[in-house]
Amino acid sequence: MTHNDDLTRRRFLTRLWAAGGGLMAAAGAWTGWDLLRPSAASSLSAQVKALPPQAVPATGVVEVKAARAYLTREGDQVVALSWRCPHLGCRVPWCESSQQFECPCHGSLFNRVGEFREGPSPRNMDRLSTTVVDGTLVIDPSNVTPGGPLGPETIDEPPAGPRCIGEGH
Amino acid sequence: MANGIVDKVKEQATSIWGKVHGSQVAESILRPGSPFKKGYSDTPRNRSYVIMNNVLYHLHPVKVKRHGVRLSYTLCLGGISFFLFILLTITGIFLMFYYAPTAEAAYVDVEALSTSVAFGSLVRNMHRWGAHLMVLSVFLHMSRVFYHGAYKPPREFNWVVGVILLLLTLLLSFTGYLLPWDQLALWAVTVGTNMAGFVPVFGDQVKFALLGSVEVTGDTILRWYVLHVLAFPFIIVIFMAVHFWRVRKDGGISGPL
Repeated sequence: MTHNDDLTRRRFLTRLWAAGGGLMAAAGAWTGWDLLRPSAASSLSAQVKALPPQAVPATGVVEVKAARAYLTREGDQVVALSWRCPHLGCRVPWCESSQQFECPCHGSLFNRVGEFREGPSPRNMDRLSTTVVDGTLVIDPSNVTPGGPLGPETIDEPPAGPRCIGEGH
Repeated sequence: MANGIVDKVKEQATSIWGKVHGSQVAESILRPGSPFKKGYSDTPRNRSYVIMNNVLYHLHPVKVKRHGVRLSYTLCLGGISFFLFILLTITGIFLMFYYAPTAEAAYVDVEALSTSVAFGSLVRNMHRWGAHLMVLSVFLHMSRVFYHGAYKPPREFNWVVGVILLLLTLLLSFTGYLLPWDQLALWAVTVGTNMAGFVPVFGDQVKFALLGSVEVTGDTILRWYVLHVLAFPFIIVIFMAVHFWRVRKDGGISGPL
């Protein structure tokens, strides 16, 4: 018999089993998580070559599907607007008839440069960083700048016609 | 002459039945107290054995209070939920034969299923409406339990198990939502996973693991398919077993005071 009454053989072995079980559980959790975590390869490509900045028209937008973005002009600048709605991530398509962005999921509306008009969106449309390399615009979809806070619109382009999405969303 | 043949056949049948009935095979299958056992007598002890020793009845108590069988009190809402779960399991197995969880095949498969497979449309709609009804019946069951105060001691823990079952029902419902791979499914899941992204601390990881990518893709269908047909049913069956067991152990179906 041991002199140490606190740690009998039985209690020691019980603890050993518990520690072993805990270790196995931790290893299983780690392995499971690593297995289910998607690989980096499943993310969007880092750089998307679009088109020369001059090709973006003064009004209207250009869709760049590979970057999940729309290119548009803001003054002399060409900006890339992420087509993910800041509300809950639906794609926000450009509506030709009303000349604004209209989210079909919950009805958020944005003007041509992505500024909030109405709906549940908490901010303006997010922007993706762009650079010009050898006269071609390159979009980096992984570099997202959250859209600015809600406020008055900086361009004077009211809705031009009927909406693409139904009313009452 | 004819009577003689009949008697002979009867005699033979009785003799064969006697051999089968008392055989080691029959004895090994039938547990004590089975009414099919040779020499069964209708005694209170044997009546109890019938319930206790039967694989299908063993969940049931030997005796049921009179109010427990009154349909108007519970409206059998829990039973209806369980029935719908069984229905969904069976129809779901049939659907699995005609559905491949890939971005290329999913939508086409569901379309083919509802147009060119015999009874495909029926089975798909049974699965779809059964799922809607199960959410409804689980909700009504929960309301019934709440308004009768049947969540009070000693049944608090079973209420907790019930809440987990509600959650699993909703998760099964939502994972099934993506599988038709139409526009509604795609954007509903985009919205749903974005909501999951708002989970504190681990939000981004949870969203990433649910999607299997940065947006809803073919990887997402496969993940949700596995959750829908394997992981969640497995977990819900375990919790249902505990739920039913606790109903009995906590004193049977709660009755009017």
